[in-house]
Amino acid sequence: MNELGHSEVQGLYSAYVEHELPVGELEKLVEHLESCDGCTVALERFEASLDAVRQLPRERAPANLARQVLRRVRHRNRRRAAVLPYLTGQFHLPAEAIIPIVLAAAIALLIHALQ
Amino acid sequence: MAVDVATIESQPARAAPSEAAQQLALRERLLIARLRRRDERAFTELVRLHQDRVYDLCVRMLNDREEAFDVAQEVFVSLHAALGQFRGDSRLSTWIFKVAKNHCLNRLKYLGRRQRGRTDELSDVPEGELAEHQQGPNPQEALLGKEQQARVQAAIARLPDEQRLLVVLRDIEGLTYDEIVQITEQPEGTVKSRLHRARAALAEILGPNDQEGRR
Repeated sequence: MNELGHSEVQGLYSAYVEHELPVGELEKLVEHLESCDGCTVALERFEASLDAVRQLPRERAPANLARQVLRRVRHRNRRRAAVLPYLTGQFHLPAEAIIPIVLAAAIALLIHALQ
Repeated sequence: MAVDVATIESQPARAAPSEAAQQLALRERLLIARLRRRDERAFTELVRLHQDRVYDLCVRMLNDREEAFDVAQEVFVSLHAALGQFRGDSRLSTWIFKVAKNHCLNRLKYLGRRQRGRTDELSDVPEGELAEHQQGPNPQEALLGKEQQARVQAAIARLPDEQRLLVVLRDIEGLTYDEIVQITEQPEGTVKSRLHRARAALAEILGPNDQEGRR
């Protein structure tokens, strides 16, 4: 008498193809398959599709991938190098640039206050 | 001497470490040390060693070579930015796959929102590329081979993202369950049951034609 039902048997196929079934379960599987054409056909189909997946040829990276990556990394580093002084407070405007800015701001504030 | 990463890393974990695997581990240690010093040549070596596997994962996951090329670049740029965070408690390749997985899943979400994505069918393969992939003297045989591959890839593309990822990591990349658990951050039982569901779905999608093709 088969102890396992069809769906239980088919649930063991992955463990079976990976040789991970304990002997007791393997024995039940074999007993079922010996008398069940449907599950045997399902196992053949399962193995065939797994073989087809495993035999897919690997995709090779395009030849310029490494070059593109390095280009992006350098671009990113340059951007960071340009922004970093502002973020860390290490960037100082020269006095000849600060004076006109401060004067312009003061005049703008004065005009605003007079209105 | 160049060591074939894909061949060595696809060996089962339970096998005793071979001379080549030990060499690879030592070279990887040195590579990590150089990467931490921001050595650009070391980073270029890292890209060259892992680019094929990362690109293959991206193509399988996204089913689009153009997107895969872009995401593969992003993966390596992210890795470069995060080199200081690599603690060395897993293999470098596992960490790289984990970053690649995150990028692929994020891109899939983005593409899903934009309703983009296309099937990379046989008709999309340039003639030159088809000739390059010819497996035998008979062009018709090569065409059948390409058709079969396109059918299998299309079937993989129909799987839910998480299931597709497991098929790619286990059945295409040949990673161990330990590595897959680290990459996916799912328990081994969950990985195995989801992978089984994915394989059963593929068998269903591919149907009896594939079985006939094998005989």
